[in-house]
Order: sequence, then structure tokens, then C-alpha cells
Amino acid sequence: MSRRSGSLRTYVITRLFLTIPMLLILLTFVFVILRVAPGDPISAAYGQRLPPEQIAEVRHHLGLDRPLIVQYGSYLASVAHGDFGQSVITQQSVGAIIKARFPATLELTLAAMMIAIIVGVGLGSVAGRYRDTPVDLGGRLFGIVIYAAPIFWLGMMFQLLFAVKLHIFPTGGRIAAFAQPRHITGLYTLDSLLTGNWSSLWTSLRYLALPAITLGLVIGGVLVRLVRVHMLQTLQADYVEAARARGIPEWRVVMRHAFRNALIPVITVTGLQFAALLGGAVLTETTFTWPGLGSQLVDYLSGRDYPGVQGIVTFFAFLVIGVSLLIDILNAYVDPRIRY
Amino acid sequence: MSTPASATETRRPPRVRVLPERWLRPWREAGRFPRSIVWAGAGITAVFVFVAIFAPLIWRYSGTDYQNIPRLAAPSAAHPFGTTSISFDVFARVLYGARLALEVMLLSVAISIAIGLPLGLYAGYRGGWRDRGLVLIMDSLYAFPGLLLAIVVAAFLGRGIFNASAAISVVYIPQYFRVIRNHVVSVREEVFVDAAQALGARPRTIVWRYIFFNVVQSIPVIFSINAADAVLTLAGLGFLGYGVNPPTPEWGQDLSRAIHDLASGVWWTALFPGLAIVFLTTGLTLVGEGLNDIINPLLRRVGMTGTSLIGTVAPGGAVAGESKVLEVEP
Amino acid sequence: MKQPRMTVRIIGLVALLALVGVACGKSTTSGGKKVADRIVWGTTDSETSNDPAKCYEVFCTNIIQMTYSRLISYGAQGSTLKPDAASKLPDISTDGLTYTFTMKDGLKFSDGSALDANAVKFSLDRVAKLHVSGSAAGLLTAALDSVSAPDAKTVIIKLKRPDATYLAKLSFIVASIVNPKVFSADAVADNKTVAGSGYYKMDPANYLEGQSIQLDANPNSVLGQPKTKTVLIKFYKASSALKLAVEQKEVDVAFHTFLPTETTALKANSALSAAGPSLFRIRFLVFNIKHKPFDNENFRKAIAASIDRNKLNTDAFNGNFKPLYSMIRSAFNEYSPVFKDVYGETPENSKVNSYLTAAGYPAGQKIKIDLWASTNHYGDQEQDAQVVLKRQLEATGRFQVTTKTEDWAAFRPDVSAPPNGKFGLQMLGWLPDYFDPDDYVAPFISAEQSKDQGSFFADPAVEAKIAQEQAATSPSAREPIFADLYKTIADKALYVPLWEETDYIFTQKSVTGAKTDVSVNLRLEELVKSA
Repeated sequence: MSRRSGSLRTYVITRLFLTIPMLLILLTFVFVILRVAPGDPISAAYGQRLPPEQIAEVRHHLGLDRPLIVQYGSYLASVAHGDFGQSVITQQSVGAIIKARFPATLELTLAAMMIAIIVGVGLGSVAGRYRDTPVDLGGRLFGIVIYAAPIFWLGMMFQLLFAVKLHIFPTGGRIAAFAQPRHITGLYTLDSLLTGNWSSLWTSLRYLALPAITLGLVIGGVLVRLVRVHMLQTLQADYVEAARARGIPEWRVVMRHAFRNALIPVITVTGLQFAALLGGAVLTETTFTWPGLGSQLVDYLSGRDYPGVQGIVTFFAFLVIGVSLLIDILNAYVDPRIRY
Repeated sequence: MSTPASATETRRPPRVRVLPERWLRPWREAGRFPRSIVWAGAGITAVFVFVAIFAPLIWRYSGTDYQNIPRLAAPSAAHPFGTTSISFDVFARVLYGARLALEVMLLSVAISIAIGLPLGLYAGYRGGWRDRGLVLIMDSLYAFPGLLLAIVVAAFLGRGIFNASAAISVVYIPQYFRVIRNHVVSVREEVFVDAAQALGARPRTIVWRYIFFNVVQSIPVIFSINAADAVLTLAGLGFLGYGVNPPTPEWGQDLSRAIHDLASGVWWTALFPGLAIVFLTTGLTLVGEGLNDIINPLLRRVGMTGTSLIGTVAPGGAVAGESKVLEVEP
Repeated sequence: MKQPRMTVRIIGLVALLALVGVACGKSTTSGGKKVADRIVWGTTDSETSNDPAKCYEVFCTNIIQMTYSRLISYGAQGSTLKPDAASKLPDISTDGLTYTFTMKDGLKFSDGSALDANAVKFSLDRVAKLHVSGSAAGLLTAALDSVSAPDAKTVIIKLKRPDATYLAKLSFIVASIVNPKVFSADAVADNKTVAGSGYYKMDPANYLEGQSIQLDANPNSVLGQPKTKTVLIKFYKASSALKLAVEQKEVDVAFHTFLPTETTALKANSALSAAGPSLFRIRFLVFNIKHKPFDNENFRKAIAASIDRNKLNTDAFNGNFKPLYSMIRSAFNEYSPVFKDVYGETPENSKVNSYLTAAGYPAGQKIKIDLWASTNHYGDQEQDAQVVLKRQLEATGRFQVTTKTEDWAAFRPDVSAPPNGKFGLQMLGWLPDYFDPDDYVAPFISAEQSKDQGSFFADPAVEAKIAQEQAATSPSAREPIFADLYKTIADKALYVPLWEETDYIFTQKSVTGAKTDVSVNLRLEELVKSA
């Protein structure tokens, strides 16, 4: 036992060490892209009547006239302090914006992930169980086709059907006016539950439904195939054969033994899909005007708000690497073969 | 070391996880789609390629024709997919959009391979800190959401075919790099071990031969997945406004204009470009599946496979049962 | 004149939130009729800054209009200036350089502190000191010499030179009276801070970035009490979402901004009322006379003669906008369709050809030009308009037009990027700051301001005439100067006016009082929704 936990510790430490250079590389990449790109953020933000002396003043105030290396250093230093910069357009701290809007993105991605897992694991297990039947083929084709559908188009079709024609769901936004629950976590559904505000819960679910279903279906499509593969592997594993040999009915074999083990890679796969989830969230938020970080990033981009873009992308980089680190540690805990 | 007992048993590159053969069998077989489906996918792709090349001969309107075309007309015999609010024929926009999609796709894939392949060969062959450094860089880029990367790059490069292709290519360079580099490393180590015991065999020739066959084995599959993703990413860029300059027909851009029509009950401007994306992407993905099935057994029969494809990327960007970061060797 | 970041119009909001499951339908009785306490206004505009020293966008102007007071303003209707915080219109010295205002008694800010002459001096000095780039500060400071408050009831404003339009400029939101206890003289306040004394006040807790703003009636209002106690402003990113919201009664008032097809559909909706149209921005083409081939006057005239505004209106805007034939808002008396007089209403190829020949282009030669527009500032129909303009120019057979676009954030600075701007021909718009024809002349053809439009036009004779009309005090003296200047624009084809945007206020049938004032702000204080 102690030997096992020892090597786990080594693994965790090694992985943590690797995280830092990876973060550094991503941050450098972001920095380089934003600095060498054509266009001038200062004129872009203060485009109106601005005499050249004032432009120079603003530039100096924001530190954009210092040599690139110095800017790079101060960027890294401020990130290390948790300072994500200041929006050029609104002069608000990007960190504050992230704090305000991240719960929206979190709520969307969590809900989408749940739907993705239900769809992916459900269809994938069934497809794996009934291998090479039309059900199997249908499941796998669904996985491919749903991934081929652009998220925004899928969202638009849902909007057309459910919002415009059937009036069941709204077309966009996060919640109806005057209906927000008391702020605890920032996730409206959770806060409504925690405060027992049922009307607010109902409203926030109504608004969350279409975006979460759209994103969840697409990610779920990818999961279908992966779960199916693992299901097949598991169904042929020794202990499953042993269970069959003991005379346990097939359905029990599937449900009790195979299914439970088929869930293990779901953790891994969830982590893998997290990056795709974030990317998909940007498109989903734009389509449904969901006020999260993804739509904020798009706004900053079109507004050429470089510090804003930089801040959000930096935050996403932290998220992605943090999640993958977590997944790897979880995996290593569960499966000792994976460690170095 | 002896040669493998059977052609189906995988060799054991030191880095890839060890799995008994029978565990692999379901995975290999699981990947196989019925031939009919794969051919359907190839057919769909071929249709799009044909349409892209021969668009002017197929349909009388071009993507930017507007004279004597009614505005926002529902689908009819004269305009099978209807018309837009500025008198564009939607069917023409779909046809010519295929042309642009294929152009950008080929260009971005070419850039990705042109950069990723040599880098992967270099890193795999040289090894050492150069290898580790490049692997770290590529893994970091790989970990980041591809779409976001493409959007940020495209937003700052500006509009245009080349800019959009460059933005999309950035996303897939790490993929090609990884697979090539992994193969080169595994093949190199094995062959050197073998060659040490063989008489008179020059390691370098063998290494390059194996590398070549491994490249042939994996590139086409990644190519088709890359192509499918490129089409999707381009549509995403166009939707957000970072694709090509209007009024060039581009599906994603047309879709972003079509959102406004939806609320008025106009559905044809939104449905058909979207369906086009779905079909082309599905076709390309299925072709990738088919290539995977064909090439693997073929090379196995010839005894040329050096590595299993466990590290390969499945459609959707996920790697079957593996964490991306785990591939980094300290 | 401010350049709005996105089409922002505020139309009064009124109406209770009728939401599924949300019970509260509070109402009060007013004049025997039950009226709702809350009204929801939906808009596609977005919030920028609520600090009068910084705000220069359409939406924040509307908010500040409703939550702050000024010495004088245009009021809810009409185009004559009325005293607000001042007790009467000021005394102006004979040389036109000194304005003396007397304040009303007992004015208070929303938090109860006294609103007196010192607060006015603080506010105006603050604007001048901060001089935020991209704000309207220049409007005030260009002619301003000093502001003094000898006692708590008197404000004396001294100018450097006489300016007939200065009173109008003082009515603009940049001259709003801010609470010295809350605002700092050295820094711009953040978006959540609103400290004035208008019809409404805003609690910072009710400001949800990008989602909604709640305004509550200000008991200490200098301007009077609004008819509805609470207004909730809800932001929608997409006009289609706003359209659905107003159709499904999620909002009571929808103002700003809809696409032409959506406007047509909403006007035809019998369950909704439409107030308007109110005239909004003017839209035009700008020639950069420092860029070839636009430096040639006859070449510019050829382009001006190729435009068919009626067809542009039908093709791109469903006929919802108003063709414009002079570089001034059609609501002014000084408006006269000079471009129609000079170039005709429908283009004639013979005219175009003769202009081009005079410009030195041999008959039949096709000239390549780039037409620039921004993508995300004027609404989504901008792309359509650009395409239609390209088609009209190419229909003459003499031009080959490449359409180019940039996001507003890049487009706007590029228009006037030194040394001579980036574009040769661009589509731009203009919105009035103050209700005076001077606001449609100086920004376009004065040497100092024409470069902001990307025109770079400068002519000493024109400068002299502009100075003349600014110094003149009587309308009868100014009118002929304006007529002359607008004719000059047409004769030299310095700009090509295209259309005037119109906006409707769409409300539920239970809502009354929806109107905009002369600066096209939605008057929230007039909105009433019957419960």
C-alpha cells in the first residue's frame, strides 16, 4: 500500500511540474499572437477625436510603449498575482468580468456535460451491448452525424422549432427579468434549489434547456463511440466471462458488471472533452446570447479589446490545464499502470 | 530480439500502453463500419468535390448573382433552395460555398502537414531536449480548445482565404506532429535494437522505410479527420464573422445572416447551408473511418505495422481511452 | 456628435413583467385607473459608461438623460430649450461671452445632498479636467473659458468666443450635474455609479452587466416624478430575440434596433402598438479627397449621380427608411433636397458618363474602387446596403466595386488614421448631439473635424462661413449661410447623403406614452402601463 501511494505522489508531483511549462507556453502563445497581430488596440478603443499626444499618453498609461520583453514579464507577473488585466474599452478589471460571467459558462457546460453523459453512455452502452445490429449502427452513425452538425446550426434549428414555432422555450438569454434567485454560487439553477425558489428554478431551467441540449448532444455524439468501444472491451473481459460462466443472466452481467466499469473511462473522456466543451460553449453562448465568458470573448474580439481577450484566454488556459491535471491524477489513482 | 510470432501481435513500443491482443480485437473490429456506409461517405465527399469543381456548369446562377432574382422567395422550381434577403440564390450559395470550403480545407491541411510533418520527423529523430521541448509546446497547443485558438488567430489576422486557412491549420499542426513523432520514436528504438543484432543491415535505411510505412498508415486517417474538422471550424469562423470577405459564398457566414430570417419564419436560408456542412463533414469522417479499416489490415498483412494505433485520434478530437497529456514522456 | 458603438435607441419601457410563475403584479391606482408599478424595456443596445464625462454613445445618453439633470434641456418634446435646474433661461451678456444662470431653490440629489451652483461648477470643471478621450468633452471645452459659482444659487459661464450654439451644447448630457460627494474630480466612475437627480435613480446592486439595469423613481427629482415607479431595461443581443420577446409579452416596450424585415413584421402585428417613426441617424458616403481617384471633383460627382436612393431603400431596407438628399436631418427647417436638385432622383448613365469624361476617364473605361463599411455597428442590414450600393454603382457600367469590411473597433480608427486615413470611400453615419444645424456642418466640412469622418476636406472660405454662422445669433442670419454650405457640399460632392434611419417604438397595447424626444432618447418618465 505504501509503495503504491508513494508512486502516486511521485506521479502527482511530476505532473504538476509539467503543468507549469505547459501553462507558460500557452500564455506565451497568447501574448505573441496579440502583440504581433495587425491593428492598434489604442486607436481601436479610442477611435474618436484623439490627438496623437493623447494616444501616446494612453499607450504609456497602459504600458504598451515598453519593450516587448518587459511587457511579457509584467504580463506573466500580473497573471501570477491573479490580475487578468484591465479592459481597454470599459476600464473594468477583466478579473471582475470573469468572476461575474464564469458562473454562466459553468452552468451551461455542467448541464451540457450531464446531457452528454446521459446520451453518450446510454447510447454507447446499448450500441456496445447489441453489437453489429441496426441499433449499434444507428448509434454510431448518430455519433458521427451529430458531431458533423455545427453547434450554431443545431441551435438555430432548435430555436426555430421549439422557440419560434412551438413557443415552448425562449430563443435566448439566461433568465427572465426580475426572476433571478438570490446569489449564492452564481448558477441560477443551483441557487434556486438552495433557496427553495421554485418559480425561479422553473424559469432558469427553461432558459438553460435549449443551449444545454444543443451543446450536450454534440459532445454526447463523441462520447457514444468511445463508450461503445470500452463497453465492448469490458464485455469480453475475464471477470465478465467468469460472471457468465457462473450462470448470471446476461442482463445482470451487463448492468452490474460491464456497465459500471464502462463508466470509468467516462471520467477520462469527460476531461478529454472539456476542451471541446469550452470551444463549443463559445458558439453556443453566441447563438443563444447566453451571457457567459464565451460570448464575452467574442465581444472582446470584435471590439479589439486586447487585454480583455488576453485575460479570458489566459483564464481558459488555466481551466483546461487544471482539468486535464485533475483527470490525470484521478486516473492514476484508479489505474496504477498509468503512472510513470 | 526475435521477430513477432504473428503478424497480429502488436510490437511493444516502450511508450504505448501494453494491452493483450484480445483486448485489441474488439477495438479493431469495433472501429469497422459496414462497407456500404463507408462507400456512402466516400460518395458524398465525391459529390461535393464534383460540385465544387463544376459548379458553373451545374447551375445557371453563381453565388453572387442577383439580377432578376426575387428577394426572400421560398423554395420553388426556379430556386430550389429559395433566395436570400438580397436576392442571392441559396442553391448557388451552397454550391459555391462547397468550392470555398474545399479550398480552405485543402489549404489548411496542407499547411498543417507542411509544418507538423517535418517537425515531427525532426523531433522524433533527434530526440533529446529538442524533442522534449517540441513535444511540450505541441501538447500545450493541443490541450487548448481548437476552435478558440482558431478564432483568436483569425480575429487578429483579418478576413481572407489564406488568413482563415492559416488560423485553422494552427489547430491541427500538433496532431500531425504528435503522431509522426511517436511513430518515429518507437520505430527508431525498436529497429536499432533489432539492427544491433542483424548483420550488415544499415539502421538508417530500415528506420526510414518503417517511418515511411507508418506515415502512410496514419496520415490519411488524420487527414480526413482534419479535413472534417477544418470544414466545421471554417463554418464556425464564418459564423462569428472571421471567415472570408462578403459576398463570397461561405456557409457559416450565410448561417449567421440566416438567424435573423428565422424569427420571421424564413427557414430555407438557415436549413440548406447547415445541411451542406453536415453532409460534407459526415462524408469526410466516414472516409476517415474507411481509410482506418482499409489501411490497418492491409499493412498488418504485409507485416509492416510497427505500432498500434491506440494513440490515434478518433473523430471528434478525442483519443480513444487516453489522456492527451499522458503521452508526454519525461 | 457622438458615434454610437452599436445602434442604440432607447424607447420607453413600460410594462410589468409578465412571466410564467412570477407572481408579483403590483400596481397602483392613478387617477382612478390601475397602472402597473414596473415596466420592462427590451433593447439590443449595450451599456457602456454611465459617467456623463465619458458617455458618448446612444444608449448611455438615454440613461443619463433619465437619471441626471442639467441646467437646461429640450424636455420631453419640442425643440426649444427649457430650464431644468436653472430657474429660467440664462442672462447672456451683449458680447455673447458671459452666461449667468440662477438655480432653483432646494434642489437635491438622489441621495438627499444639496444640488446647488457648486455642484454645477464641480461637474463642468470635472468634464474639462478629465477630458476623457472619445467623450463629448470637446463640445463644452472648445469655447469654454471658465465656470464660477459666486454663491450657491448663481452659476457664471464665461466663453472664449461667442457661440450661438453653446446653450444647445449645455443641454447635452455631458453637462449633467453630478453629485460631488460621489464622483471624484480625478477619475471616471465605473458603470454602476449613477449619482444625479433625474427622474430615476439606479442602485448599483441593480446593475447586471450585459443583462439588465433597474431604474427606480427618484423622490428628489429635479425634473418631476415619472409616471411609472420602476423601469427594468433588459438587454438582448439579437434583434430576433427581442422581436420574439415583445411578441410573447416578455417585454412591454421594444425600442432599438430591428432589422427592416423585423420592423415590417412588427408593424403589421395587430397585438402591438407602434409609435413613430422617429428619425435617427443620417447615413452617407464619405469621400477621402486625399485618396485618388476621389480627389477629382468630377469623379465624385459621377458616383453621386449613380445612386438611386429609393431603390436602395426598397432593396436593402424593405422601404422602412427615408431617402436623404442633404447632409442634414430632414426634421430641420434648413433641410432642402439639394442632392436631388443637382443629381436627380434616379441615376442616368449619360450624366455619369459626362462627369467621368470631364474627370479624364475615356468613354467605356471601367474604374476600380473599394467600398468600405463596418460590420457590426449600424446593424446587420449594413452588409445588405453595401451590396446594393455596389450593384448600383456597377449598373452604370463604369465602376468595378470591391466591397471590404472591418469590425467597428478597427474600422472607426482606420477612418481617420493619420496621415490621410485608410479608406477612399466609406459608409458612415451621424447622430446629433444638440439640436442645431451647426452640428451637421462643422463636423463634416470644417478643417479640424472633417478628418474625423475621413474626409480631410479643408477650405478657408468654408471655414470663414462656419465661423460666421456660429457667431451669428438670429436664425434669419444663419439660415442663408447654412443653405449655402449645404449647396457647396452637393456641388463639390464632398459627401453623398444616402438615407435616414427611422425607429419605431413597439409596445404592448396596454402601454401608453411611448415617445422619443428631439435627441431620440426614449422618455421613460412618460410611459404608463395599465395593469
